[in-house]
Amino acid sequence: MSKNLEIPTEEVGASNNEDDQECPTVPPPFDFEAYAKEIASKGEDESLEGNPHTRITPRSGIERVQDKLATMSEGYDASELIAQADTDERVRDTFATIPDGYDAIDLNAARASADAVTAHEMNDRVAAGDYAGALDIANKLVAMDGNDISARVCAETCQMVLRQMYAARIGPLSRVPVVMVPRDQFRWLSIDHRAGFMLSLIDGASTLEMLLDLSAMPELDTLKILSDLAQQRIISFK
Amino acid sequence: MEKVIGIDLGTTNSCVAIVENGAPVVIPNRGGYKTTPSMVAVTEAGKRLVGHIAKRQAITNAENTVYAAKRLIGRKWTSPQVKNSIAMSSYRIVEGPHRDVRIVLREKEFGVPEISAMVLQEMKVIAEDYLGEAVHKAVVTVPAYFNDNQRQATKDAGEIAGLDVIRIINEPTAAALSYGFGRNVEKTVAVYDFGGGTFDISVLEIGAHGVFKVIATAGDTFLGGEDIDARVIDWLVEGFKEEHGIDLRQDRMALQRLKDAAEKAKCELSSVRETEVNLPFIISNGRNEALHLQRTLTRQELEELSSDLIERTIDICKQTLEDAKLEKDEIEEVVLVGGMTRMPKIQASVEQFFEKEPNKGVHPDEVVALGASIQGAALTDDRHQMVLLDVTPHALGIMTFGSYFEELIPQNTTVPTHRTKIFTTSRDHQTAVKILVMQGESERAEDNELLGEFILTGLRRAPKGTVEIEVTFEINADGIVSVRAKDFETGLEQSIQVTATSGLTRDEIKTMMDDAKGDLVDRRTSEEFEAKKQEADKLIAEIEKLFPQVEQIVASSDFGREAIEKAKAIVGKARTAIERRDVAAIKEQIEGLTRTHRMFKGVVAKT
Ligand SMILES: Nc1ncnc2c1ncn2[C@@H]1O[C@H](COP(=O)(O)OP(=O)(O)OP(=O)(O)O)[C@@H](O)[C@H]1O
Ligand SMILES: [Mg+2]
Repeated sequence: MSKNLEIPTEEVGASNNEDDQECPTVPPPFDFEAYAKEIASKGEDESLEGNPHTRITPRSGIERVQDKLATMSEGYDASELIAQADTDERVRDTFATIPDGYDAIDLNAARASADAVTAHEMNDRVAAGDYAGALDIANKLVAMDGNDISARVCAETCQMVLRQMYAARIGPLSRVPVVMVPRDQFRWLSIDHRAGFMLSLIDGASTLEMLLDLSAMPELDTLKILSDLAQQRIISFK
Repeated sequence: MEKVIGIDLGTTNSCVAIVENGAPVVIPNRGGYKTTPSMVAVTEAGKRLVGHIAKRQAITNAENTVYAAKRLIGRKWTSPQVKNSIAMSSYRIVEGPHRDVRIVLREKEFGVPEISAMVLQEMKVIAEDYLGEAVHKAVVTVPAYFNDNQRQATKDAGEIAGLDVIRIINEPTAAALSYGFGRNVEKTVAVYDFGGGTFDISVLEIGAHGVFKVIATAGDTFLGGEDIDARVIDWLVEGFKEEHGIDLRQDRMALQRLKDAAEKAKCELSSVRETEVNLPFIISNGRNEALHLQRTLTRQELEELSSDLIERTIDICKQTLEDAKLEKDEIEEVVLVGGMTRMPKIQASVEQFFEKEPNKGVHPDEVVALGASIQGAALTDDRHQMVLLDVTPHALGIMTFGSYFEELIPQNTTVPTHRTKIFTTSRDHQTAVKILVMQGESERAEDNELLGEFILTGLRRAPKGTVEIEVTFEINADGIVSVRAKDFETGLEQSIQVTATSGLTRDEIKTMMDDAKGDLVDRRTSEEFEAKKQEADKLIAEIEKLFPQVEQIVASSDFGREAIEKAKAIVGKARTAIERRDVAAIKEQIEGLTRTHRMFKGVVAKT
């Protein structure tokens, strides 16, 4: 999806250079400045007012959003922020900017050893594009302090970002997945029992949407498993 | 002529059939299956699932999946059956406002007929999809032992689903009809019905002129194929525990797969002698390694695992014949009904017991629906062949002194009918009598179902046994029972009309009907949504294909850049509308997308 909006990998690199006048007309795939302004409109920090032509990578963007949010006063209604964010179609394009071959999921394993549960660590994850890792930390922070608005917003944002990332990999939910590996070779796959359960549900007739209904797992987990299976080419789509 | 469908609303599965060109046929559902699980679930996201999809998540979402609602329909909260169901069910069963039963799904309370209505509605839609036209009328089957309240509740379920249930018939009767009995043959037929959740044995006396008398019926509403599945699951779980030291029951995903695999293996063993149960990645061990379950089950092992259950059905048959004072050789035909009777061991056990080869169709789980459709066609056919006459499913009477049940209208009486009996007072100087109207076959009043009560007052003070009271029961053609008590001397009388009740009021039924209609609209909208979504998706894809080219062409002009921004906004909005499943919004965006697409094509074409 949205192939055309994808910024070629070289360009992402280019954007880190100062050489910006080449492509000022291409809108940032996800305008974090605007987003930050929108959600932080009750705040007072002027520093987020940036040059509209400056291209900002999503990483630094989210980081700044987080910084901004960290300074926000308590009592700010996070659910409202999320509702706004949800409808912001630009968010979906965030992934277009993640360089090919770069896989946030792969970072999960590496992250497991890190047990730093701090806002700083969370923001670092976001900056590194490891949304799954950031989400994990954000959830822990929320569990520790339910009023931690910036963690809550980060969790929601990461969830949204991850959901769209997985959705981009598996495509529309009306698609019907099929198992590509012969049954007698299943046991050689390196998957866990949850992915095994998912595979058992794939019957060549059920749509992705039906699988989500059947999965017995949180939607995000299901999407992740399906997108992993698709990436490993264990499943494909009719 | 309006089409009438026949529906077998089963405890575990339902089936719909219709007579086409003179022959009854079962209508397959969208998945191609001829029976549909009678299950209803609500997902975490609040989505309602009915049928196969509900079954596939029945264990992983056990608290919010209703199965076997039939065991509860039309029953009072206080009935032992309900107590049993509460103990056995994973979903929440609560007391309703009229001493009835309600089911809680994700915080919302549903009447039992309302749940059954969801299944009936599914069957209605299956028929409508197949026929390509709306269906309004149905014949629905119920077990022979269902009392008037349970029958009424089943009718109410039909009404909620938008179906006029023109006749309720007994399952064994329907089965016998589809096996071709009843055409001018007078016969005594035993119907052995072993389904997914219940076992029933009924003996029918088929007389001339379409009278099917149920002369004996018994069974176990908690004995079915699922109990055999459970045995297979136990066997698999124990084997796995021995091998790996892990109890698969702790994991719902594992249990869901075990359940599906156990039933599948059981069914396969009806036609092959051994089968492999293969469940890779069933669970992970402590070291995070996925483990696999792989075992071979033979037919003989399955028979051993289930032998006592099969034995129990035969014991019930034996008891039923004894109670009805019937000899085995008085049974002229034996008919097999229910999916479980595909199992060779069961067929053999039945044959051995009745000492005759049973009639077995190819699809024992479809015969009840087929019979219902035959009856549906007969009811609308002018030639009126084989129209069943309504008979009273149970005896009607009153409670007398000492808690005895005095029968006025016997079981199997064809309606309309009326009967009168004289009673006297049981105490000296008694000035009032209470008439308790009951239904059932037991001599002990408390074992029967209380249908209603009223008091006749103003009796002459006299020694017991001297004041005579005439009690009359009348059942009209619509099945409504009136009871009248009259004091002979004074001519004073008192009466009531006993209407069977499902436990729901008219108003409640009305509201539930509206809700059900709303759901159907939702469902139809979802079809519309799919169509519009596809249209929008196609346009978006085409626009996006053109984006790079258009961008290149118009990048130099402010106007062009603005146009591109606008186009992107439209695509974004369309995506949001799709994500929200908002059909109206998608339609609106399709217009914008069409315009954009046209413009883009124009721009590209000009260069
Ligand atoms: N080929 C088969 N071999 C063995 N069992 C089978 C076969 N096919 C179906 N069954 C079993 O039959 C049962 C379902 O039977 P059926 O569809 O007649 O149920 P039902 O009418 O809903 O049940 P009930 O009589 O309890 O209302 C299930 O347990 C199913 O596993
Ligand atoms: Mg049945």
